[in-house]
Amino acid sequence: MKDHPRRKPDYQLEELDGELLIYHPTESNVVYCNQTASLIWHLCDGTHTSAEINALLSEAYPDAAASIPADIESTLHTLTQQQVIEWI
Amino acid sequence: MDLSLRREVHFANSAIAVEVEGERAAAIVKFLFRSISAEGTAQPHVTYRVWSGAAELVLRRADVTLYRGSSEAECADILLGDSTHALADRSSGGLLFHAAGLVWQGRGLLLPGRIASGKTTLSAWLALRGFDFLSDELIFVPTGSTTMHALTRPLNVKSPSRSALRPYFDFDRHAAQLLSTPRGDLIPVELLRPQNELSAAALHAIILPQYAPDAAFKLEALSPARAAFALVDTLVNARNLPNHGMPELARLARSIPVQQLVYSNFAQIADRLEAFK
Repeated sequence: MKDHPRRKPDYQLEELDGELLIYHPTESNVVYCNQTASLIWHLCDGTHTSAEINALLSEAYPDAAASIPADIESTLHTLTQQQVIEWI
Repeated sequence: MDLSLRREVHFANSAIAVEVEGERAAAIVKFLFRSISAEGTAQPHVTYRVWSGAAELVLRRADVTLYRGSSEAECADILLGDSTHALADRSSGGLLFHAAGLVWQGRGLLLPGRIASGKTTLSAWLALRGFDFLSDELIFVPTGSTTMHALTRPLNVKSPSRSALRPYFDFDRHAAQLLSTPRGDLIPVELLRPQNELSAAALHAIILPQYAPDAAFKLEALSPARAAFALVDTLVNARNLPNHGMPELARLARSIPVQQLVYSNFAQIADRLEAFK
């Protein structure tokens, strides 16, 4: 089962005050990530499942633990739809 | 007035050429392009030919006939739109925005927005309120700079916007000086603001306007990332730029405050005009 999200190669980043713009140098698609989504993006290295990402962020930000699962699901859905991550 | 001439139009490191024959044709070209530079280093990549006879006007782009008829306004409207697109198509060396540009006491205000965002109507109203007018269509910010350069041409006010501007501008009194079609009016800038100073300006603020009928007024500061993301939609020459212009957009968003504006009438803006200065 492919349950490890991984950033696709060749995408460039512009980081501005903890938020991200993800873009491809030859394509017109641009993805905006707020600070939470930026953290999730950075954890998409192919070694963590979404459940493990949830656990890591919930431990790091216990005050936000209630909203983290929904944020992760939404972000990963968006990043998948925008084709900037792949599942391995 | 030359009755047979060739004029180049240069903007944003791009150029077109216009060959003219006939008095009416020459008048159209002067009306449209008199405030845009005729000199530059770019080679014109497309040539328009405008010819006028006793009863007919003909406009061609290379071998394609864009207009044949008797209406100066129709011919001008088509030439303006097509040539603007042609200039934008080859622009490079900076960010070219689909945007209006105005200046208040040396401070440049950029109003980027897609079609129907209200930028032409808003920029016309601001010009009537004392802002110097640069453009209602294209603004160029060279790479590494925060100076705005304008494609200064007649305002292209769409017909639905007439009612919004009518309290401030007498369309009927100025009818002879406009070029009007059923779709809208081409208005020389000096009719809105006789003392207008046309020039480049240092960029001071960016406001993304969105007209929405019956909407509550909103003027919201955007984070640099959200600002750059919003500006992507209004960047017309991205494919001619390294990395689609993203590093430059990010640089600009870090340097210049950006706000999102939602409005439904000018009274809302009049109460908060200081935010635009």
